[in-house]
Amino acid sequence: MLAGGGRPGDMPVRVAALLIAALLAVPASIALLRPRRAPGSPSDAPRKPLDAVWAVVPIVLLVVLAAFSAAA
Amino acid sequence: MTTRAAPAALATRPLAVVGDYVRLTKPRIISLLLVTTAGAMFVAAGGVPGGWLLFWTMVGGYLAAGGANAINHYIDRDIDGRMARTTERPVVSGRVAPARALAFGIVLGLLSALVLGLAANWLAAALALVGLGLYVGVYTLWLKRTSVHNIVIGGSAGAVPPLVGWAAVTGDLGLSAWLLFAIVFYWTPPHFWALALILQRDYAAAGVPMLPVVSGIPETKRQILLWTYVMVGVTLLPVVSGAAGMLYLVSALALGAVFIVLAWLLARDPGIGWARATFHYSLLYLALIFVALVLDAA
Repeated sequence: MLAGGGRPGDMPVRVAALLIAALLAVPASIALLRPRRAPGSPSDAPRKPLDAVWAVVPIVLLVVLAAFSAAA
Repeated sequence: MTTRAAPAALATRPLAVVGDYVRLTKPRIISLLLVTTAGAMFVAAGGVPGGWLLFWTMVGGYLAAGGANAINHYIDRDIDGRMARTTERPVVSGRVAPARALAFGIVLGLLSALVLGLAANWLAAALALVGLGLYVGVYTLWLKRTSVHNIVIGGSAGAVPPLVGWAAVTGDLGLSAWLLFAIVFYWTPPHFWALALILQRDYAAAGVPMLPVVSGIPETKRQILLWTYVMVGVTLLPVVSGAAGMLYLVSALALGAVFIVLAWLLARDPGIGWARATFHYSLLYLALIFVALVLDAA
């Protein structure tokens, strides 16, 4: 594993890995942004403003890391 | 009989005290953190890192995580007494005075910085202190008792050890180091929530807003499955960046497939019967992902 550089000869493997990663992570990330709440569940309590920020932090991190990985 | 038992009890007391202080560091949790630290070191070195560097980085990593855990014992001593799982912890049970646990944790944290700074470099030392600060400040003091996102955001502390290991070898943090951080970061929610499902009554009794307590069991199981999908996707990013190859790709897909199946079985189960298996597999999974990275890099 290299500190930043890639293995140019493995481009098909890299593209395949990117496609699989996107297939797994993108729909799941979208679903995570819309949490379900069962009627009468304890989650009916109002959310705090910071909760919205916390919810998107992992998604932003994922997008940034995926972009850097694809560009490497 | 009494005259013989008394000296024996006295003889075992120092050992019991040592045992309590070791317990303050939560050694079982630290062992997995050190696997990720060592794994990052092997990967960063492209083979076996220097023996002494590896040894002292493990020591420094243990001291940093142990210090954070000891301080956590001090801060959480009120709620530890309300949870069946934690009532026997050294501080809440009165075997170690709270102030001593706090001082012990602070000393371990300072020692960790000294060990890592002298044996590796000051970036590794600073990162270890950042991890300690995240665990104590962001997780334990702030989010654990106030937000349902406590594990997701506060759990970032547990993802710092690979950064420490990487920095100890290279002296900097490249993309690959952050990808290792991300693997642990995205692994933490499905791992911990599987445990939280089992311990939900404890957390409810203590008033800790873990996901099963706040959002209920069905939503927790749904989020475990979704986070597992994201996590497996993230484990493929080292291949996307060109930093890992086919051996790792196949390993990550196979290991991830098992995790997804377990999370799916848990999500479909009307109860939480698969939570324990998911939790235990998650421990093995993280270790094996790092082993696969090491083998791929060798």
